[in-house]
Amino acid sequence: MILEWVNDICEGVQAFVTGLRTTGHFLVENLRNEGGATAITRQYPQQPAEVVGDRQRGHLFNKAEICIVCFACDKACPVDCFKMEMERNEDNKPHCSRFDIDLSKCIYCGLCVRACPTDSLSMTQAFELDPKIDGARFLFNRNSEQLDVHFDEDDMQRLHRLSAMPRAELSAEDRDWLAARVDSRGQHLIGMYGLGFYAPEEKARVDEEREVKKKAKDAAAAKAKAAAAAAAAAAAAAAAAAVTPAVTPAVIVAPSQPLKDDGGGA
Amino acid sequence: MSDLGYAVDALAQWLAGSGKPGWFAVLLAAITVWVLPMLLVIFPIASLGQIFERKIAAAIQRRVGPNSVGLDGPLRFAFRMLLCFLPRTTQDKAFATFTNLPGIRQFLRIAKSLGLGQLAADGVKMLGKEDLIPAGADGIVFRLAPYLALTGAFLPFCVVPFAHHLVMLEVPVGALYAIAASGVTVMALKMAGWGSGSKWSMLGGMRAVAQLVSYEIPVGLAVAGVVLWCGTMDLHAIVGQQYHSGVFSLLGWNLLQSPFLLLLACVLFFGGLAECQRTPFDMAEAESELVSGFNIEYSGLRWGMFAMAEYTEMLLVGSLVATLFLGGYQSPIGEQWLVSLPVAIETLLHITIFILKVLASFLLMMWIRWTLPRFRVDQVMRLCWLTLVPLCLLSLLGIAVTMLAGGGAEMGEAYGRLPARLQPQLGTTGHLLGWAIPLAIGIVVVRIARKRHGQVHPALQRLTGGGA
Amino acid sequence: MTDDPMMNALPGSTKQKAGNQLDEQIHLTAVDEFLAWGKENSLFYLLFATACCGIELMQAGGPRYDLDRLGMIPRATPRQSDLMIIAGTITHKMAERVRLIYQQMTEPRWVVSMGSCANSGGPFSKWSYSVLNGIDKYIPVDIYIPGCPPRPEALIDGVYALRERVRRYRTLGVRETVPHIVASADAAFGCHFGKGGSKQPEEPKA
Repeated sequence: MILEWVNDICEGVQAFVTGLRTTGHFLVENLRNEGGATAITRQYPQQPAEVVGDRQRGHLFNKAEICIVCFACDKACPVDCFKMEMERNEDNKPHCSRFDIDLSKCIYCGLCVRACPTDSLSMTQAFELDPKIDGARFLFNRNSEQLDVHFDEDDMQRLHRLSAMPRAELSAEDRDWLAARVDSRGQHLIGMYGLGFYAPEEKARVDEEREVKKKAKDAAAAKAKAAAAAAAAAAAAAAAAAVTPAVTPAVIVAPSQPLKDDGGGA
Repeated sequence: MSDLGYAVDALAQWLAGSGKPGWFAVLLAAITVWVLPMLLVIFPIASLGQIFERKIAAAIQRRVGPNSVGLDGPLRFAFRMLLCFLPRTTQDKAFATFTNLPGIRQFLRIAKSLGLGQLAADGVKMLGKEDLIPAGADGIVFRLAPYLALTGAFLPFCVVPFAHHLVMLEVPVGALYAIAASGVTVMALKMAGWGSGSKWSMLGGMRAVAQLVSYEIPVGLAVAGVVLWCGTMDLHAIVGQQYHSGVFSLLGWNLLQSPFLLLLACVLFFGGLAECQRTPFDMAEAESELVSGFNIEYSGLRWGMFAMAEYTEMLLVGSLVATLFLGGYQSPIGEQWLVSLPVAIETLLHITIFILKVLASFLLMMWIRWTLPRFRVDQVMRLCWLTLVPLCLLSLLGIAVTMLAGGGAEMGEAYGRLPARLQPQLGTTGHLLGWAIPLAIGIVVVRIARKRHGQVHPALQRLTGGGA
Repeated sequence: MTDDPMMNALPGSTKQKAGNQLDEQIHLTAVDEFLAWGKENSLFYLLFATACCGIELMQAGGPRYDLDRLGMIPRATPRQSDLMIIAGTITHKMAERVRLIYQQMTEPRWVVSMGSCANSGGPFSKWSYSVLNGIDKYIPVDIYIPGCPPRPEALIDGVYALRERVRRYRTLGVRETVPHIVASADAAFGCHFGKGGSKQPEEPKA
């Protein structure tokens, strides 16, 4: 019995020393490296956030330009976090005048992204609410000209107040004010109390798109110029070569019909 | 001469100049000697201990620990107070200018990375917290308990020698007094548990009493071993006993006198760990079982007092271990030269050495806390009654036998102004034999025990069906 | 600015600014600032989690994200904690307990609603008979953190937003008269949202 007692004590001491050695190893290692170089802590706001993987599902993003407001995402959403309004443009094409995603409801399941027929919805990796990028802390989808508009606190308050109102109730002045600052087609990420966020990825994306669009526009302009020059040359040649006076085709310029206007959505 | 202790008398005499010191000089001296060490030594260390612990815990868990709170908050407040006649913007400007001075900036950065401001922040927050007393609480008992806990933690320091010239009270029964005074904490915890009027805190208080009263026994026996060896209960005299005039003055420490004293030191340390409710023994505030145990209903500064009491008690255990076994305030090397230095320098060095020794056991306590999980109640009790108490009794017997074999106690070396006391004079051969014989027996017993029982743990054997 | 009384009470508005300037000349603000500094840097949070967000909360408190870095340590009892992080689904039954715990916390106290379930019921908001749609129907909430569950970084982000709110808390001086909920969102994002302004905590369902 006494021997068993001695053995118990020995085992206890052994286990105790083993434990102390394990933790002591970390202790010494961490203390030796001043500032905790061996610490695995990621000091988040000071260090960048960890990227888990490509399939990490952060906040939703809707590319307003190609959204056709088909409500497929709304049907797929298990929690009803979408709120959208449709307008038709001159070609009678639908586009969204308002696309709100309630962040406090969204469960980041990604079902809406699968349901989207035009791939306008996508999940970003952003999760920060308040990245403090520029004066305006919120993303009310803004186009390239509006991106640089600075918002002070009063502006932000007005913006949020206006964005929460139905568009039909807005006065003309408010509409103009909004139009100067916010792309009305854009998405608003809102929360229960209108939490919004402005993700750096989206700014980069908008910048990139702006670049691409500009290039395409330039290319198209150059092409049109070249085509016009070629056409003019060809016409001159044709005119010179023409024996019989050509019948100039009467170009009837039909005035474009004003299409059905919904009055800018409801 | 009054009965207020040597240091008070000396200081009063110095204050009064020639002649008999008046009551005012005595009072001033008593306050200086008794209160100042508390305020200047114990209080800062006990409060710094919390931030120290958080850093240690962080290092053990491979974290960074508090590093976002610097001292800029208190500093800004100080600027606001000092420059209160100036407008706010000017204060801010002055503050910015001051904090951008080269040395100050580095200091503030280091303070921030060490989280030094954390302590101030916690304290300030507790000041602003609602002082809540639950409806079902026993008001007086509830209010009294934190003060009593703090009292129980601070009282034993009266007899702890911080330096040769800095002892608050030299009582002949210092060791007994230290244990008795720290027993006040038991009452405090029980009062806190009962006075809160909550079943969880009641359970916590009950557990605290059961555990603390049990662990008083091994602690008391461990101290009794030292008392037996040194022949005195005066803590300062015990420190004096451990004086060794050689270069390696640590050879005189009680820890190295006998293997039984080494064992007793371990017992005292673990018993003390249990007495101050540190983690392997924190039955009284087991978070997973009792929410927060005895202090569940305490908020703000009242809870802060309990926390302070806990850290002060840790300091006390460290001090007792240092005093009884590690030569007190004496340097491990070259104590004889240290003594010959001027009094002021000697005292400063002694205090530093003492604090370092206390911090060492502080560190060990934290290390243990962040290593071991909490024991069950029955495990705690079994450790006390079936392991520590028998070990203590065994050691007491061993010490007695060693002293008998060494020819009984004789007059030991005199140290400083202290009178010489009884100490066993074993001589070098006697010491070596006193180490060799118990160690040999111990090793033989352990080897036999390991051989007989050490292969597979019985529980494991049962699990694996006896075989394999 | 506007005729909305709620808007006028906001800290950004002119009336409040004038009040603040007066407040600044009184000496209490320096003390208040210091007290707020203490509160901000020592937010002890309650050990409380009801569902999967709790896992992320543990992550945030663990070595990887280390809330202790910000001076936040967990406390088991509501009396000693300053911050309650509602991490997870709250059922109607649980909500009453949550409110009880909230009432047991000592002032000043803050609440962070973490994740979609606590914010609005999340995946259970539509069809479940037992889940509460938003804990703010029972107790006032200071900061909402979206996510399902939010990542530890998002929680830390929310904590930083909360610290901004705590910084503006006045212990001795004149406190802002904004309704709690509006002020909270307002503190987090520096603006007012009009939408939830008139919302008051409801009485619990039977």
